[in-house]
Amino acid sequence: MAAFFDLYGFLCIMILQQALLGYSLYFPLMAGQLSLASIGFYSLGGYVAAIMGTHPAFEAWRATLGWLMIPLEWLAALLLSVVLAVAVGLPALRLRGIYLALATIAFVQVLNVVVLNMPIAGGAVGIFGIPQAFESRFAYIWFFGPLLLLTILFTLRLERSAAGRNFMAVREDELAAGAMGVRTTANKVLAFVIGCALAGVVGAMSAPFLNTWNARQGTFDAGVACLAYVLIGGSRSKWGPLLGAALLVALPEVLRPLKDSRLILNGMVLVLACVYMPRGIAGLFAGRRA
Amino acid sequence: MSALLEVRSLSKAFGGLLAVSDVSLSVEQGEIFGLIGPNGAGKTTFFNMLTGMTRPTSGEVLFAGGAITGLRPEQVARLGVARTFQNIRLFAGLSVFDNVRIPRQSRERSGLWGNILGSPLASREERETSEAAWELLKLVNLTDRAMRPAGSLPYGDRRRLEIARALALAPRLLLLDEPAAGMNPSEKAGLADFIRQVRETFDLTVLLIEHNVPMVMGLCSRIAVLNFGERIAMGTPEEVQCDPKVVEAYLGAQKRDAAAAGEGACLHSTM
Ligand SMILES: Nc1ncnc2c1ncn2[C@@H]1O[C@H](COP(=O)(O)OP(=O)(O)OP(=O)(O)O)[C@@H](O)[C@H]1O
Ligand SMILES: [Mg+2]
Repeated sequence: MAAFFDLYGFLCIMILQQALLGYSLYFPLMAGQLSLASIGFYSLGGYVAAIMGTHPAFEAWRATLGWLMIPLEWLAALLLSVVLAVAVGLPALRLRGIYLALATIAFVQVLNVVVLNMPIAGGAVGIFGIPQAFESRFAYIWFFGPLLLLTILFTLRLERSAAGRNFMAVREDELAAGAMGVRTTANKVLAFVIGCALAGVVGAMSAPFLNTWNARQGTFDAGVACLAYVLIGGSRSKWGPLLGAALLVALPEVLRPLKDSRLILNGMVLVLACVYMPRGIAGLFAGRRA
Repeated sequence: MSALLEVRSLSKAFGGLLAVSDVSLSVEQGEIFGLIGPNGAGKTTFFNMLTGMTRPTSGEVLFAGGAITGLRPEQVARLGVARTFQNIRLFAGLSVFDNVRIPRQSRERSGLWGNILGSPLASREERETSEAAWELLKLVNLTDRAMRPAGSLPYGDRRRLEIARALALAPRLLLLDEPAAGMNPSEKAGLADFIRQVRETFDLTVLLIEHNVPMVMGLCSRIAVLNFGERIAMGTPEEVQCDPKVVEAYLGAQKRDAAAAGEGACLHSTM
């Protein structure tokens, strides 16, 4: 058992963490909005935690608050993410489909450049030696596990409530939703903000987990990977992001014995999944039930 | 009787094309008012302007005495103006039941967290909305398919569901854009009865676009006729029917009807 944890513990945590990022895109998708902004908020949340955890200016806070500093970092990341998400979402969500996706990619790039030029964020090298919250890496399951559980419960409740149905009405037909009294803009912004806030908190939890934080956390590639979890897992199912992250994070590890050819196989699995499972892995189960 | 809807000199230009040109009319509380005209006359554009989906180039719309020109669609809807679409726009991937629940939700006061945590207010509103939606499904005989995706229903049922969805807003004014399109004569007669019944039950005012002249003549107390964006006639079915301009617009547009109506200078009104 211990050997299993040594070998796969890190992988398990990665799956949970990446699944959470998948969920951060699932919410805007529920309202029909294709956003790639999450990775920017993830990066931002990480910087908030890294700065609060290492910067001398917060020395006194850390000394008095002790471990309470950690939830405070989460809260700070959450609040900052919400404010920024509203500011970005209001203008960006006037755009539709691929244009919104492009605008959110642009936002992520701009954010990266800004952060790289802020001395407090450590420039290109980033921030080192972020204090660990636990002795073992696997113990971080106490961060990501409960958050994932809460996120899934939240999604479950959302889907069965008026708030979730408003999102889905906008996704199905924005014009008709407006004609039926649904506040389309407010709902799109709300769905976007929920996703961004989640991504910000995941970032704040990840900074101590990964020990260092730099601009490479918020790259375009990482952002696309988050979207892939949702699409491969199933964008219409609350289990989609989890299934997708499990497959995509584990696959390269499982295929490791194949050495170089694993990358080819990995790519092939993705292509086949897209072609044969348009509704994702979750769609396979739903199809069987029907 | 007083005017529930008053339209003053409404116009819409798409580039050089005047889709609606200086149209005024007023719809009285409780009446079924018909809007007819050949293809491309500007009827749907007129509806889109009433419901905030298209911004008028000029003119004014008053609903229940207040100006609604330039409001967003959801604001107009929340004031009590509901509509259906010529090309049916249901929430196709959602259940029949959810389609009818969504419009009523615009009246709910509970917010996101109330919904997620299941506050007493949110639970009560959820129950009330579901009950009201179920009643509407009974009215259109769709309770047995309530949990099916709306897009999976046959055409006629989708038309009825779309009307039920509009009624779920509890509107004062119902706008129907060619609700009988694609129906056979007996279905059309059934729909006409249904519209009358709905108007009675919900104390509604109805504004109806319809190509089918006999159906409009039988159903409406007054009719306005559009042709190339202009209102060429307005009055009771009898007045409009024999108006030379209307006859010309229709005979010019529909050659086949010309033969049928050949005997006189009126549009025939039998179904
Ligand atoms: N968004 C738009 N952009 C440009 N032209 C438009 C637009 N919408 C409508 N039109 C034009 O305006 C005119 C009126 O169209 P509208 O759809 O209102 O007619 P209608 O009376 O509803 O016709 P039908 O009976 O075929 O439904 C048409 O010539 C149409 O091509
Ligand atoms: Mg039309």
